[in-house]
Amino acid sequence: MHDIRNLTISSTNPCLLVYLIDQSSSMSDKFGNASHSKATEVANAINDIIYDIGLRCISANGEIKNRFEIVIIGYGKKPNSVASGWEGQLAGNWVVSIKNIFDFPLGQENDKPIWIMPYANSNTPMTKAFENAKRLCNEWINWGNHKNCHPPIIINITDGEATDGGANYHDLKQEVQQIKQLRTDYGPINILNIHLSSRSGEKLLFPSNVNSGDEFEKLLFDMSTQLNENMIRIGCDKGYSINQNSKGYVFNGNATDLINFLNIGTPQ
Amino acid sequence: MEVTVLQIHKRSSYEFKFIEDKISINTFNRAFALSDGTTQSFNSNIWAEIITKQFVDNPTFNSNELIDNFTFKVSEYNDFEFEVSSNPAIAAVQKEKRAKGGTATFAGLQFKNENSFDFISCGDSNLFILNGQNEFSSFPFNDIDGLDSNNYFLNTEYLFQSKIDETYFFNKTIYLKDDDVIILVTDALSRLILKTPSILKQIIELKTFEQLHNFCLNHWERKVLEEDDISAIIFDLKEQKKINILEPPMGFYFPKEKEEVFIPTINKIIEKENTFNNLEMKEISNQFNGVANDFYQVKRKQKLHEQLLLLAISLIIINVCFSFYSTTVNREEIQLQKSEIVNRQSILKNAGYKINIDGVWGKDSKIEWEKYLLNKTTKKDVK
Repeated sequence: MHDIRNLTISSTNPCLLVYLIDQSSSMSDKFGNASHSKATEVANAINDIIYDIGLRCISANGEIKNRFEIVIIGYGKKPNSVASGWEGQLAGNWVVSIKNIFDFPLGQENDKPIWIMPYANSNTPMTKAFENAKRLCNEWINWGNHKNCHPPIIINITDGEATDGGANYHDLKQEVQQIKQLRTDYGPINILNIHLSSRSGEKLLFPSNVNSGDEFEKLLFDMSTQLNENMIRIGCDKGYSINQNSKGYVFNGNATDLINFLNIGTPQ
Repeated sequence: MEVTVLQIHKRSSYEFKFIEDKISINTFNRAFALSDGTTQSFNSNIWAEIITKQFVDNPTFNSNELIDNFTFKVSEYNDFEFEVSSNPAIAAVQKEKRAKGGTATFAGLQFKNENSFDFISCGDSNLFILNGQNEFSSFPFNDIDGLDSNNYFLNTEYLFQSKIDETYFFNKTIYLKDDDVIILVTDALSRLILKTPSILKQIIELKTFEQLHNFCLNHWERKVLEEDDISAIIFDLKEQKKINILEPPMGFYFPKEKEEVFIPTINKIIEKENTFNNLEMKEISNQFNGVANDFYQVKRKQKLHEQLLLLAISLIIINVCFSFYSTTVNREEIQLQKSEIVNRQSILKNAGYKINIDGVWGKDSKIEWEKYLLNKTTKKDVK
C-alpha cells in the first residue's frame, strides 16, 4: 500500500466522493432551533461543500480541474427507492466530475451556485443506498487508473433508522462490510456517518468507542471506518478531540458539526 | 561556494511557466529565498514571486519587520488583473478565491560570512545540512509528522488583517564547517528526505536537468515522492563560487494526459428500476423472448440428454446381467471339465500312459490325450 501522504489528488488521479442523503419524511422536522428543516440544512451543507471543492479545484487560469468526482444518492424521496440527487442538466447521471458540476448548476442563491434541493418524503431505505454506493465504488475503483487514486469516501447523512436493514440490520451490515473490502492502492474506502438530531442529548463526535446501549448509535459507529491521517489533521484543526482510533462518526450532530464533518471527510 | 538551483514542475502543470514554487537570488546581498505557492489559493505563484524578491532585496530576520515588508507588498499582489469567467458558477468561485487571497510558504537565508548564515521560514519548506561524515541535521522540521502538522502559511488577506504574527516564523543562525552542504527544499522533497535520509546524497549529485528529471520521474512512479512542484537550493561550501540553474529547457513540457470521464455502466441498471418508455419496454420484451427461446432450446437438449442417459443406463444393466450369467455358465463348464479331466486321465492311465490323475488338464495331459485318440482312431482304421 502506498503512503497517502505522497498522494496529490489531481485531474489524472481524482478522488470519488459519495454523499448518501436521507430524504425520509422525518427530515422535514426543524433542525434544532433553526427555522428551516433538516433536509434544507443538509441540502445547504452539500451545496456549500461542492462549492468549496470547486474553490480547491480552480486553476490560476480560471479552469476547474477534474480533481473530484461526486455522487449524490438520495434515499427515501419515494417509498423504498434511491435516486441520483443530481437535477437539471445533470439529472440521470450518478458520477459527475467537479468540472461538469460547475458547468451545470441548478441556479444561484446569495450569489452562490446550488445543485441540490431538499426533499423529505418517505421511508429510509439506507441499505439500498449503501448497495448502490458499493456498486458505484466498485466499478469506479476498477476503471482506468483509479486503483492508483485516493480511495473513495462515502458520507452518509441521516436522522433515522434504516427501514430496509433486515433482521438486526443484517442486510445493512452486510452491504457495509462488503464496501469495507473495496480498496485502492492507497487504502480501503472510507465510510463516514453523521446522525442529525433535533432532540436534546449528548453528542458523540468522532469517538473511538461507544457504550451507550443505543442500538442504532452502535450500528452507525460500527459501520464507520477510522479516520485517515489527513482527516485527523483537519479534525484537530477544527478543534475536535480526535485520536488515531477515532471513527468517522457523529451522533446527535448539530449544523456546525455537519459542516465540519463534511469538510473533514473531503480530502484537501 | 557553489550554489545549485533545482526546479521542475509537477506533471499535471504540463509547462514550467505554471510552476508555483519561486526562487530568488541576490548575489550582492548573498541572500536566497524559496517560496511554495499553494495550489488551492488564487495566483499563489505571483505571491510567491513577490515575497522571494522582496526578501532577497531587503533581507531581514526580524519576524515583525519581515511581516511589515510582506504586508506592504500585498497591494502589489491585489493589483494583478484577472479575467472573470462568463460561467456564473465559476465566476463566483474565482471571486471568492481572489477574496481569500494568495497563500505561500517562505524560507529565506543570508550568508553573514563563509561559516554562518541566518535563516527564517514560515510553512513547510525545510533546511538540511549534510556534513562530511554524511550525517545530517534539519531545521525547522526533524520528522514527517512535524512537517505535516505545520499549519502556518503566509496569506495576503491574513497579512492585511494583521492576523500573522512572529509565532508563524522559525528563525535561527546556523554555523557551518568547511565540508558542510546545505539543502533548502520545499515540502515534497523534504518529506522524501525525512523518510529516506540517504536520498540527500543523490540530490546533491544531480548535475544536469536530465538527471533531475529522471530522479523525479523515478520517484514519482514509485509513489515515494509526492506529485508536486519540486524545488531545491544546494549550497556547497567547499566548491568554487558558481551558480548552476537546473530547470526545464525551452520547449520542455509534460505530455497532457487524456482526461477520461468515468461513466458507470450500472447507471442504466439503477435508473431502469423506476420508469421505462415504449422503446425500452420493447427492448426488454425482445430480451425476454430471447431468453425464453434459449430456455426452450436448453430444455430440448436436456430431453435428448435424458434419453441418451437412460439408454446408457439400460445398456450398462444388460451388460452387468450378461456378465453375471456368463460367469455362472463358465463355472459350470469348469466343473464339468474337471470331472471330464479326471475321467480322461483315468482312461489314459488305464491305457498305460504315464500320467497322474490330478484333475489338472495341463500340457502333458493334452499331448497324451491326443496321442491316445490318434492311436484309437488308427486301431479302428486297421480293423
